[in-house]
Amino acid sequence: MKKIIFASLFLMAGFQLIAQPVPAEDENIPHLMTFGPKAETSWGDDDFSQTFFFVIPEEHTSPFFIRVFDPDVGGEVDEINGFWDTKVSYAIYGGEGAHSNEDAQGVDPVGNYRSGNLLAQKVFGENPRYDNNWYTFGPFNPTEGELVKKYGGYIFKMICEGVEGDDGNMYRYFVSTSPSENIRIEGGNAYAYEYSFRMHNDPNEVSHIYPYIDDRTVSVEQKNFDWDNDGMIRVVSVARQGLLCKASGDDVWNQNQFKILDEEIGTSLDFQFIKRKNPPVKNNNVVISVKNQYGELLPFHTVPIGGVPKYKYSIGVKKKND
Amino acid sequence: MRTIKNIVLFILLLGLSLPLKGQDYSISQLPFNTEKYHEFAPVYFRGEVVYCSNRKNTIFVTYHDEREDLPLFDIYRVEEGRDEWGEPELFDKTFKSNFNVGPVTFNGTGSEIYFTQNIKTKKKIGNSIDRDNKLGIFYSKFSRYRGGWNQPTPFRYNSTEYSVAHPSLSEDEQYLYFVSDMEGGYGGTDIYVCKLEGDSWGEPVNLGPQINTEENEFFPFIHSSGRLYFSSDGHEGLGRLDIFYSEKVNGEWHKPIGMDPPINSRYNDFALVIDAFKKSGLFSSDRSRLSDDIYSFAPLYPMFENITKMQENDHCYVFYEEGAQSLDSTTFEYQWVFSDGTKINGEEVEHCFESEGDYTVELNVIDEITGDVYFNQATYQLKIENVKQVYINSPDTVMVGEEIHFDGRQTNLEDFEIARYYWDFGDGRKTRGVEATHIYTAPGNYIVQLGVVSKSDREGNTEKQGVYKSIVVFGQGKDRRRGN
Repeated sequence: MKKIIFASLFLMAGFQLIAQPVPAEDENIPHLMTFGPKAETSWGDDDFSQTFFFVIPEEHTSPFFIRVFDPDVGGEVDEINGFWDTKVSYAIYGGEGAHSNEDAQGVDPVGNYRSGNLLAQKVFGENPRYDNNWYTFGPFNPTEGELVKKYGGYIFKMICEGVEGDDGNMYRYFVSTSPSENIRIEGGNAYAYEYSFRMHNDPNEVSHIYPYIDDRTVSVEQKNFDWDNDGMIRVVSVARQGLLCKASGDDVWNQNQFKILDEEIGTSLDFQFIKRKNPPVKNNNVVISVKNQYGELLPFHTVPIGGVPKYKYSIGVKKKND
Repeated sequence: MRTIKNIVLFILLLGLSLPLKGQDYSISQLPFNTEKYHEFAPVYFRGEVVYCSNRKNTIFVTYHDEREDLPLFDIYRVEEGRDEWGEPELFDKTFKSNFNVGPVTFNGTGSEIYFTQNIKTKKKIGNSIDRDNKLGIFYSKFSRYRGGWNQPTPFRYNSTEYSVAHPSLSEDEQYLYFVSDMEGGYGGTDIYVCKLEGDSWGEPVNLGPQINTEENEFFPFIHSSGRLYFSSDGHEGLGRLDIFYSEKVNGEWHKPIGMDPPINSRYNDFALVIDAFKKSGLFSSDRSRLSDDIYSFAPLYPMFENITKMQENDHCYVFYEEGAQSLDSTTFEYQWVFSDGTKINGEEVEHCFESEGDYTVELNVIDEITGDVYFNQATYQLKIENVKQVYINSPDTVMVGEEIHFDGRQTNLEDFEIARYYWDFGDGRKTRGVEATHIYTAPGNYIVQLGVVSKSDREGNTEKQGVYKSIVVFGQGKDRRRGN
């Protein structure tokens, strides 16, 4: 029964989703981030690898494309470390095990995290052609992905890894029905178990990620890396006005646990990254993941399941002299 | 404060309104009285009035009291009417005696009677009663089976040595009050009470010196409220027998209070009874100077039986965000916007509205971290109503000699169209009207009462509501804040 409810939730939510830029608008994250393997982790990347999963709904049968914005490492968007000497690989996997393999759902690129069938791969170095521009993978047939009923569609895995060098690669994805334009796929979504991204430089911008809380979740632990004490991490939900979490310093991890409220089951949490105003921190790259009480990673959906959670204020009134 | 409490307690114990001044009663001599004979000691009985009279009721032998040479007394009944009364007739032949009979008392249902009668009922030679024929109390029960009263049985404390008379049965039928000149009293006739113990009456207990005097106390009447009315020529009154009342406070009878004119007069006034429902009553008096007659009385100032302590209208509320979890550690500031124009910032705020009405409360939330302001995150419709009660608008503390304005306009009653307002200022003075002014002449704690009477419905019925509040009156030169 629970499974049915769970699936229904996703299916219901799926009808309202439209794929998708990654990061999505509601996340307000400027770029994903992956550094070359020779970079110091103090630059913000703990493992020089980032895995994203794209969900193509079963109902979508026509080919689609995965587009990468600014896939190269050089030019305006990326972060130089001395001189441009970095190469990154984009590899797209589908088929059996692409998602379901346990190693694929970890936070570290270890074991058989490249599971599934390699459908496409391309390595980028400094390449002005793709600086501030799009590169398109595909077309892919949706059925080339791994069918995961729980998510209501076919899953494709994208691994971006630093291959050479020590510069930072800043990029975005878009799952599109067109090779040359960003045209959303209705009902699509994307998620990751660990998010490595670039914070805004503008201290007034607030970024968000939205881990989904299923009915098995009793408590969660958030763990973040290299926050550089750049402001606060605050959790908001339908029942939680704002819980401050521990943020990490430079090149270190920090974490804390908190209990899940009954009203939060079946909704997403809103992890807000609120930058420090003074002094402003620029080019801050961070990593974050969230686990449940079993140590299982919670997926961050770029389009939050159930919508962006909003705390519902309620006015209580009582007689002063009661 | 203790004094106020005592006053309130006293009022509650009374169960009735504050004592009414005599001018607040109207009296009327009832039409069935005769000039030649006596009529007195009435009681209510099933829509009738039962009383004593020595009017002639037989064409044969009429026995006379050898002391006054008047016919002896019997019990009569007369149908009670608002405008017209019926023709008096003997109450019941069962109680017809050769000697004096009456007064009487009935239980609540009228199925049992206690009555006074000369103990010796055998006829002597001649047609007069001798001096030694004492009075006693007798009891009878109405037999439904026979359709008549059973043969009377004597009260166990009847005696040939002294008289017992004038019975009055309490509403719960557990106490029988009567008078007696038995030994051990305070002089003359005293009032006694017996408590029902099982199937028989316990030993008579003298009500004590607060009630009984060296002179005579007669005609006790125990009201359902616990108030004892009686007649006495020993307490200070207006002259001869007067009617007094007393009640038990903390188990002791308080000093009897005389009824004011026109109930009491300089003549003999006695045997008062009150109808449990109408708050009107009957009493006897020889003020006509011809004979004892029965009078009715009715309060002009209505009695407010169920007055309650006035509650202040409380328009003060506390507002809070009821969903916030205590585990939340972040900082938000709340701005509460009230439709009366007030804005208050705070996590939990208090606000007092000026008056009853419909108000809207909006919550704006200020994120102290980002500085963002989220307007109207929640709304609450608040309906404020005054307490459904009669309302006395007046100061709580005043000075002696200060003219005080009382206003009943804020009275808030549902389905109650007010016809009249009655003020009782607690110092013996009363007035009428929706507004009133008053000046206290002495310091003290006073209980002010406001009662309202509704307009009559189609059947002519009215309703009454009332409240009281305390007012502290300071003498000149005192700081009134001490009373707050």
